[in-house]
Amino acid sequence: MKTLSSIAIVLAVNLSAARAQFSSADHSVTVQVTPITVLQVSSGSVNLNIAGGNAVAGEDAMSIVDQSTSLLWGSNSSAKKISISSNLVAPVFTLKAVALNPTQGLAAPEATLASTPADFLINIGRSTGSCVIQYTGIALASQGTGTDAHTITLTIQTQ
Amino acid sequence: MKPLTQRHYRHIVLLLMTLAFAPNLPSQSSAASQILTLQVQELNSMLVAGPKVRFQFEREPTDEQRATASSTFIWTSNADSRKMAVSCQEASPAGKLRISIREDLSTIGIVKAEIELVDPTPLDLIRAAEKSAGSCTVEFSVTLKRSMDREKKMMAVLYTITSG
Repeated sequence: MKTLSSIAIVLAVNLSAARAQFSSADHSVTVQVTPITVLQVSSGSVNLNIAGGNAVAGEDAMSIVDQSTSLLWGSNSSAKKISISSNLVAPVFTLKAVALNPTQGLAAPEATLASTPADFLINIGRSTGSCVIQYTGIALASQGTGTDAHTITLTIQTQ
Repeated sequence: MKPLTQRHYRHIVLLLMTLAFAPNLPSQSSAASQILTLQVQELNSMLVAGPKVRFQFEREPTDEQRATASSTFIWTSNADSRKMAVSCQEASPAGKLRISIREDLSTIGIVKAEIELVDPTPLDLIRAAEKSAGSCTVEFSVTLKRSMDREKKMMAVLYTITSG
């Protein structure tokens, strides 16, 4: 490490010596900004539990709503949207998602999550923003009991 | 200054490689993921519309009188092989209290034509019921004999959903 510092100092000294020979010098500087997109959810996991309190006598559908997850994003490209999908090809129960109170862009209509990505937020443009992800789990009495374990993926894509 | 050795040259090469490849380090991800678990537990929910059922008998009855009334039973159950039982909360109810279901519920389970409540023992009205949600009309009939006391009586009927 000491040797490396010595080398760096030698290089710096040599460069200084070279500049001293001229009263001015110029060079080209290129600033390049590549497309940047970043996405983050507030928690790595969320649990939805439909239990006795969610059932109404006589109604086939039982549901539960969760708004505990926030989504943060940043993008320096125009014409961008955020899509959402699940890894489950054939879930037993229905899971829906919608963006609430986005600070940028427009919330797409509530989507039933499937393996094919659906629009979640559109027209986010060059922006940084946040929203709440509202999940709604729906089960029918005729579907019985069970558990669906989803891996939900949100992606910034070209609109 | 000492001459550069092979070890020095190795360090220089490493330093230059780092500077060269720094702009090509991967940018932050454009995707984020989350594990979501949706769990549905067994649940049963029911209610009886019009909790009070009234029977009225004539002032001067014949030897035996029968009166009828009805109520609506509403349920939701997501478990298989359930049974709905009915019991009377009176140890010895006055007269004969009979209960039956008006609609055909054969697609949901095995329905008993009629049951007679004589004590608090629960009797099955529907057995082997499928996962379902629905409603049906529960018909009550009470038969009083002339010899029985004519007084206002209240009886509680209890509905339960259990496995079976």
